[in-house]
Amino acid sequence: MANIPPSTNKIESKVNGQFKRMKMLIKEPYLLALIIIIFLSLFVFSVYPIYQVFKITVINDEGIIDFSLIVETFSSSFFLKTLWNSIQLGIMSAIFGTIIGFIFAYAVTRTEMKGKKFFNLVALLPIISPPFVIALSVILLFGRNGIISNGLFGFEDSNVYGLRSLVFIQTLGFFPIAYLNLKGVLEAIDSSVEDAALNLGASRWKVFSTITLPLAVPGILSSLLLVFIKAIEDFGNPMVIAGEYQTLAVQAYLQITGMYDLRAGSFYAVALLLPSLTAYFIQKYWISKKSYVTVTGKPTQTREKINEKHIVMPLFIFCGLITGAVMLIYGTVLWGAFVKVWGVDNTLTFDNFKYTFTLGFDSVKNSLLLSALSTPITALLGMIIAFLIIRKQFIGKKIMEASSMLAFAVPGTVIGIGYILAFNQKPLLLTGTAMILIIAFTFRNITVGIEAGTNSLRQVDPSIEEASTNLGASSFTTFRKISLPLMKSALFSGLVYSFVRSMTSISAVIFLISVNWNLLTVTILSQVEDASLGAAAAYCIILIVIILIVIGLLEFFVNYLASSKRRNFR
Amino acid sequence: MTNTNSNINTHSVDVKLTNLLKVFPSHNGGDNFYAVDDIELDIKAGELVTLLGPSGCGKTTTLRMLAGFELPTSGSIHIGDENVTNVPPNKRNVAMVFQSYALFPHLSVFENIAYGLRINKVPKGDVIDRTYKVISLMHLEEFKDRLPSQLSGGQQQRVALARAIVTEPKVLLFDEPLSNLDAKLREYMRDELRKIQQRLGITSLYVTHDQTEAMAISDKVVIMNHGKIQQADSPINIYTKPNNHFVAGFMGKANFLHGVVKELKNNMAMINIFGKSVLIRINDKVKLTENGPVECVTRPEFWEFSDTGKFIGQVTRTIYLGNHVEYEIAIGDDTISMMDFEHFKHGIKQEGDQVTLHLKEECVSLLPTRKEYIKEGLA
Repeated sequence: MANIPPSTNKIESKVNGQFKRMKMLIKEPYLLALIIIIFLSLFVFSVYPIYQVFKITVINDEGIIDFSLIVETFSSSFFLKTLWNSIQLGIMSAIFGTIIGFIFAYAVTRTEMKGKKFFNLVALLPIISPPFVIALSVILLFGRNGIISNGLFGFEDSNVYGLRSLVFIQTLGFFPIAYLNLKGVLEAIDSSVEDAALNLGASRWKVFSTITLPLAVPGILSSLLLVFIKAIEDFGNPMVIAGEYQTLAVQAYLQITGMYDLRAGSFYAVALLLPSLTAYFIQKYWISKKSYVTVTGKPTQTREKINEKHIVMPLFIFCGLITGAVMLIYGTVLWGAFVKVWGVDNTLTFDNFKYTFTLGFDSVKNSLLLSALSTPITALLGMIIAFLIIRKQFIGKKIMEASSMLAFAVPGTVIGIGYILAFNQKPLLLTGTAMILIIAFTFRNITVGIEAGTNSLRQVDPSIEEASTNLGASSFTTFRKISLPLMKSALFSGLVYSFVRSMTSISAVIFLISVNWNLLTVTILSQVEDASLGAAAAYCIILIVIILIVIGLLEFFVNYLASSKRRNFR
Repeated sequence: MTNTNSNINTHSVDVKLTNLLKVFPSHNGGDNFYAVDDIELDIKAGELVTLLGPSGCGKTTTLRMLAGFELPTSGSIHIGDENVTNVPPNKRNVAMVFQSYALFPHLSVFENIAYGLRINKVPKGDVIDRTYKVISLMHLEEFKDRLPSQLSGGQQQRVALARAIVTEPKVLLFDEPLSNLDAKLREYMRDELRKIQQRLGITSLYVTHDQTEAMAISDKVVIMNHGKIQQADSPINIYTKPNNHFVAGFMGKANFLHGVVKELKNNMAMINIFGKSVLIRINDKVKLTENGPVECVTRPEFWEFSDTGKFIGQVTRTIYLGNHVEYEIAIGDDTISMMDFEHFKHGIKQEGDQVTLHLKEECVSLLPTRKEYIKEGLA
């Protein structure tokens, strides 16, 4: 055997290896069946709907390939203006959001600044609340009856709608994404590298500009892209506050619900998809490869924090201002929920809440029910896929990984349109049902569980699972008894994140709701459009309170589950 | 055979690796990597065999193929009478002790050890009985409720071994199990491990890169390099009768000296080294011709200071190591390394000192010339 020339043996052994692996899989038929089911469902619920969106833009009503729509739309100045608006908005929000996020992250990870915990907590508020809360608040503050514009300065006709408000809102709403991302990056930079620079005589500024900043560049780029994606695919804020400033996500919606033009709407969605998908995959595959952060598993020594006043003070003031702005935004909504008629009759009352309870509590129940149903499915499926991707060998693993990311990477608008196109006839007649919403939640959020799961699995020595196999456990038993308990924290973040995203999502579900199954976010949006700002604020508060309670319960539940498992095992 | 001396029952079986080949295809279009290159190995029932070699020599891959974590490209693996080549790893009943111990961090010591029994659906009462037996065998009673993170390295090592033997496996596999312990503890655990293995009589395959460890615990040592077995033999034969240059150099320190064969008679050869004649026993693996070249292995301890010695040299380096002194000594154009265990008798030589040396000729072994073992495919 040893004398066979390597070149011919190579392909043979590769094929042979794949074949052998398949043979091993057949020996675990449940595992094989599971892999096939996951493939099928990813295909049907992620790939196929997106394909439908593409298809409808090039195939006309008679079923013939027809590029006239594309040509027409591309030559229309309205479309080009909208496209440019979206990109402009994305770039501006990305730059401001990343700068703020970086300063926050630097202050929190590198200095002895006071109130870090508090800043950290406030920065998370925009993440766990529906995005357009900020837009609502900005109207309450600066709108026609705004307490600042009208109340403080007495402007009669303040125009809050347009690009400037939108950039402000999205910066504030999405900087936490950049902050969390960069915080992780800055924490992961080995502190001894910076210590080495100090030791060689560099000043604090030199350490920052020659070591910390260059090492954080991949993180900064990925933050820029992440905020860019979030900003261009955001639907709620532009819908509420963009005014004449048209964006792609809003136009796609208006074309479909206002003009009943599915093809044009789909085309706007595709136009939105291309930049965001490109940005996503650049972020995912190119930039993350450039990362200088190495996971060694060695315990790093605690970092010596910067304590000089002239560095800490400006950072403190900056973080304080941003935090203050966030608190003002949310405080305003809280206040707005208890005020009779905003800006006109400022007496405190429970009327808004009474109104939500008597008139529209169904949507609250629906949101809660559907999110609660999809959350455990999403988290568990995410953990399973993470386990398969990291630990198992099978043909098409890369495809599984990519297609599981697809529904997450693609703007919600595209998923929403894709679902109505794909599931409006038998055998998959799902439009108008609760099922389509649960499925949309699950497949849109599954990546979060997978990412958390893969990250935590990478930190588990594979020989721990091999030890279990070696002692006679099947893949399933090993997953249930060893891997899953070790992924406890990932499971928790998967549960929390998919619940929060389900509760607050709007861009996809706005296409999928029906009379029977309306959702809370959509209700809030329509209240804002009807100018019932008090009711909208009350709904927002209800939503945030529900989310906080559920996060608390989940934390309790996951801890309980883990500890009770240990007890039962004895 | 059934081992009745201990309270844990084991049935020892043979292990047979036949024409085992593992090729990793290259990813960049270069040559394939032959991690394990067509090896044959028999392990007798109850034996402990060590795979020894530098990193990347294929020893761990061989072990993992026996465990079932890697599938051989070709060849077969038999455990007892059963061909397990394509049996999944969880159905092989071979237990492995991992380099990192791989203890389940969320389970107590007791549950770690009981895990394999529970997985294999052993009745509850038996699980508790058998786990306690192994716990007491390994002296782990007081730690049984702790989590792995609350144990020292040596204790973790014992849990790992306990977890492996509790299922009464057909074969025990050790993947450098002692490499994470400090030197003192490593020696102690090494002896413990060997005692338990002998007491239970479990056929064992042990991977290490530490030659002392291999010598100390093995019935048979298998030296590997570049995916091939260089020599499989008892520790004493490996050390005193190395097959080739690699084995001689890897196991212990060796001075390789080039000599010329002067005369062959009976089973002895008169060989000229450094211009002096020495009489060396002929090794039947080596073909010698009169006036032909030969490579001799002289270990540092084969040399001693003696006023009647044939060789004259100059000390170029002295390293004092307590129980012995290591010297580098220039003889002619060559430098040899020697060890002196009697320095308290005749003092420590200084660098630059002239010395007379005696070579214990009866210890010297001969190696085939490089050409010969390239021909045999051992290079």
